[in-house]
Amino acid sequence: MRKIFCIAASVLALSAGAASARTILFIGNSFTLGSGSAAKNYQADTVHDLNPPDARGKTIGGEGAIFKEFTKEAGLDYDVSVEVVGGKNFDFHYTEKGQLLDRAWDEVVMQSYSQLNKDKPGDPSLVIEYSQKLDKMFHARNPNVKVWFQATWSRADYSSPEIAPWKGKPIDQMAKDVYAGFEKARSASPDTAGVIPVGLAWNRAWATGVADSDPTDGIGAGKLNLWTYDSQHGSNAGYILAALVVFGQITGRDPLSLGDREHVAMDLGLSPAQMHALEQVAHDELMAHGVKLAMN
Amino acid sequence: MSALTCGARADTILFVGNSFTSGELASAKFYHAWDVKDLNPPNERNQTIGGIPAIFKEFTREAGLFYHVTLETEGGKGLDYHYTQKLPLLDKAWDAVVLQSYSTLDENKQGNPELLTDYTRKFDAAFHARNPNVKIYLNATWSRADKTYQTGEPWYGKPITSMAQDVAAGYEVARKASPGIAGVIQTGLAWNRAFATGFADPNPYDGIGPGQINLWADDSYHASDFGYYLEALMIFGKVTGRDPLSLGHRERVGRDFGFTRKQITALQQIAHDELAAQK
Repeated sequence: MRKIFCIAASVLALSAGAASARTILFIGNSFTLGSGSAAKNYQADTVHDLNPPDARGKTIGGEGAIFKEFTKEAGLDYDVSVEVVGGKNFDFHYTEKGQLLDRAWDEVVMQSYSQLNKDKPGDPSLVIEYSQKLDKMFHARNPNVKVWFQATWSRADYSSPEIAPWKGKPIDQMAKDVYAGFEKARSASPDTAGVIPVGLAWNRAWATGVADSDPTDGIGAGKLNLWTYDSQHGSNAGYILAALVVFGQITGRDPLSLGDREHVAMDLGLSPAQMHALEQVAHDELMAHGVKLAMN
Repeated sequence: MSALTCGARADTILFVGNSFTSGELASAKFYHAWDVKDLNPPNERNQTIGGIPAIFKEFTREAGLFYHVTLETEGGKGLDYHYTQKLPLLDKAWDAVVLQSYSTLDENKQGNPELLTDYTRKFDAAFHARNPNVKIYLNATWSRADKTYQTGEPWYGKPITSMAQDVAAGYEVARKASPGIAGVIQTGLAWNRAFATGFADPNPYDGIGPGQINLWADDSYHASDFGYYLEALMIFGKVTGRDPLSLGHRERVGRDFGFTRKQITALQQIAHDELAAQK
């Protein structure tokens, strides 16, 4: 009898929690996954990975789990799902993973191939085409869904032919071009909510001296390296900055409201001073885009 | 026969230390916390420590060894604290114990090994009373950049290798005074070797050289994931007798922390060389 009661109670508790929480889905590749840093498997148990675990039984935490922790600390209730596959673009997620994604979500954050198109770097046509399809699919399930584009950062792995068009250009150019590509995708899908300026926040971190924009000559005193070893993917600091911008954009909470002794920062080895600097960068970037931010 | 092999009992190992064992200021701190037993209560977020013990546990699993790993860590404390405040938790029969004390040997008398020596003896007696075959190791930690490059600090103006050498010498004093101690794990000397080979930057205050890594965290005091990884490799090599290089360049902790294969191999080579030099 007691056993039956306990099961009934727990089912009740689960459904009650699910009803109040806002659902959010992160779609992306290694940049959303947190590849190349400890962010990858961070608090994976707090989010739903829609893809199966890896050979070691591990599922993905990544940006979704960092976002989840931020919202928890802000007293917000989000039910976070992630569907990420390394090296893939919107076309893959739509054609191969559509069945997993085709549900009613409150928010969706979509991150594409890092140079918009693997074969035609900088060309947004594929992103535009498949974001229209994804947007349509999500709105059919929930007319009030907010579909966001996450515009990612400049890569500095100049030996890679994938980013040949940006070789020799200022480091902030690729992020600007990626952002502009997503602005086109947003215009082509007027129901989408907006473009999250993650890559532009990285630009700001370099411009303000918080981070070092050229790891080939070492890392300047007191500066962060936003990239991991391959100068392509993020370091813990890079992913945390990305998640701070996403957090501010989606929730309307000021990244600075998380405070210097924020848990993700402590868990992943950032000092209070480093976290404060990243929160300030995210705050400033969102303000520059006219995002209204509240402290609570 | 196979049932006997499968039933081979696990070795128990206890880690006692402070933030240098718990992996403070790095993602090592809560790494695989579920994989080890923390004798202290969880924090206000219900987290327990993974740290160096959890890295050690993963290394042993990959090596096909079976250890039950237990830890008792308290930030900013020396062996004196653990003995006087935590002994009831620790006073059991262990197969192996790794003890790590205050980073300057003594918080009040920096560089002085007397307190360490005193409490090493006490722990030695307590653990041997429970298990005469226990192997007790002392983990001699690294030079603090903040104690070396900042004016007014005891190692100011000395080479960066100096503090680790002094700490190593202090632990050797403690070992000699306690004949039951199995050996000193020369973690700090492995760090010195990483500076000497150019793998790690010896001075974080003027930035990090191209292609180099920083063994310290942002406070130039605690370790980064790289620093803790090297520490765990040294402990693994000393305690298990396995070559750190045997873990291979696809070693999982290194991959989880986001290291390249080259970095993993370089760290294993440094640990290998330092352990070989100690023989």
